[in-house]
Amino acid sequence: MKGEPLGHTQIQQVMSALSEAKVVDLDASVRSLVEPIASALKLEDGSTVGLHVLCCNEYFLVTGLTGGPLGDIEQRANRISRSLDSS
Amino acid sequence: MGVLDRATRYLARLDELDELWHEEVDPFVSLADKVVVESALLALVTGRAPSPSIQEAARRLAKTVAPHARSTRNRALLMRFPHTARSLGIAHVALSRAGVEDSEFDELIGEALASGQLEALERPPFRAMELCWLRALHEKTAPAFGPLIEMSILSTPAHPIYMAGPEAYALTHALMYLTDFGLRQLPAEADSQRCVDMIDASIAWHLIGENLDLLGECLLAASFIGEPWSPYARCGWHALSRSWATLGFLPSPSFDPDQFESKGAKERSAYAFRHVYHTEYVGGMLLAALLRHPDEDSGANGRPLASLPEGKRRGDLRRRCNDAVRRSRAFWLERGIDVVEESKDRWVSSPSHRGLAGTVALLSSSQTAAGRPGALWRSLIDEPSAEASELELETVLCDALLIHACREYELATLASLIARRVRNGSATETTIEAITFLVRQQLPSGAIGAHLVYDEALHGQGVRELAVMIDHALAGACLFLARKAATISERPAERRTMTDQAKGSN
Repeated sequence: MKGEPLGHTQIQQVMSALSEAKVVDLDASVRSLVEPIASALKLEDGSTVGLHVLCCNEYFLVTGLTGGPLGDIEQRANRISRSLDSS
Repeated sequence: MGVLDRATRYLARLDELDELWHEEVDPFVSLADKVVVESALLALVTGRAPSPSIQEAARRLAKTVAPHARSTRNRALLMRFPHTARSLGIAHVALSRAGVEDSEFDELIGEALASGQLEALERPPFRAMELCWLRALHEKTAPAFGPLIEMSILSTPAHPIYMAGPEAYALTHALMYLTDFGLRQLPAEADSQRCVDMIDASIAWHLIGENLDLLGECLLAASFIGEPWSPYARCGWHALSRSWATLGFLPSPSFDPDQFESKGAKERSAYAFRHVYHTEYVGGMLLAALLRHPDEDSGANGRPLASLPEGKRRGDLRRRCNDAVRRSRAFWLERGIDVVEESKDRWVSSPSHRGLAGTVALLSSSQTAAGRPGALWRSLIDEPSAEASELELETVLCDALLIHACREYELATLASLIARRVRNGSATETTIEAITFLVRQQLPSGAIGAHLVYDEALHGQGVRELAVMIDHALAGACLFLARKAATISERPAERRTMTDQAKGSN
């Protein structure tokens, strides 16, 4: 299906807003969508690939749960646990 | 019991916590109200465990929650806005059934339930089930869910490849209300095998997604369905319990450690409880449920891996798969690339890439959090349990990786996994869904992959390699599906036709 690609600036603005609102964890979502395809295609402008991949998966991006990765929580588990037990 | 004691300690200072949280769930219900409702449910469900000490701890929690659930503010809200009984009413009714009653407040709830205003809100089917359950609990009758099951996610082909968070919660909550948190049998209108399949696939999803809240809810739902635990449930429990033991708590997916660290001591405690309580409550209910059904759920008599069911759906997929392969090959031939020729002898897998080791290698190489050294699924490998065989473990992790690859659009991983599964002849429902997903990525031109929407993407270096991998995977899927159809066919003519179709795909 052909169409005019969305401008990178437009997509960037939308994604930044979603990230600031903590609806999307850009690090976990977008990078994993864009980088495998971009590296497979070895395109210079990876954002072009990213745009239409995003369009296919935007539903996941806007409804995904966000928070800290479990790994980050594990690193601070002792402090968190002490805080929970302090009540 | 630790969950109950912690809940009781924090609920005793709820007013102080509410000031620190500053959160509204909706214009009428605050976060503190939500915590009260869920604490009352925790008291009710854990109080059903066959353990006097747990029952006593549950009762202590119920008594601590009761003043908050039946506050003056809530009385005024229920009188002015009877629809708030949908949430505020749950706390009162749960407390009453847990043995902490209040006849005056009960009349207020009865009035609200009879007002008709609770039905006047547009809600998803599982929320309608919740109301049905609430009424039955209040009136001490058996709930009649009527057409709600048919309207719910339980009667759809929902799969974690496509599901988002709200659908995941709809699935688990529907099963909670339909069974009264495990007290009643699943209604006959719900297909228990289908429910098990959906929960199993969801467990696989969350093993890599690391949403401990949903993983716990899926295990809770698996207990409530009333069937012996599958290998997925046994693996899910292994991972969840190891994580709980390691961390000392169960974080909700909303827990942000940076936010936690940015706060002062008092605020940290409030933040930590706010972003831990729900998942820990699920954990507490799950432990109580396991105490009630120890032999059925522990794995000693667990159900084996389900064999792939037959059906019209797979016949349709076989045809679509054959068609997809034919059109894709034609697309690439027009551009001077013979994907069939290029795929010959390319994937003779080495022993290190087969079986569980191969799946672990693929998972470990993921660029997402799933590939990190301390990933949740690794506890299944690093601390293996006798509750799951190596084959079962491989199947569960393979399904998890298939779901992950589809959701993250890692087509190379997806194609590689599909090829391995169909070559081994050991596909699950998730494998079939993954094949269907890949077939759906075909463009009208015949090319497979959303990255090929733009013509300029055709010239990328990795495009050819990916096309060959996808062809290899789908051609293998065609053969696998044809073999499966041939083994169930009783008509020699039909069997010959399918064999010819399979040969045509190559």
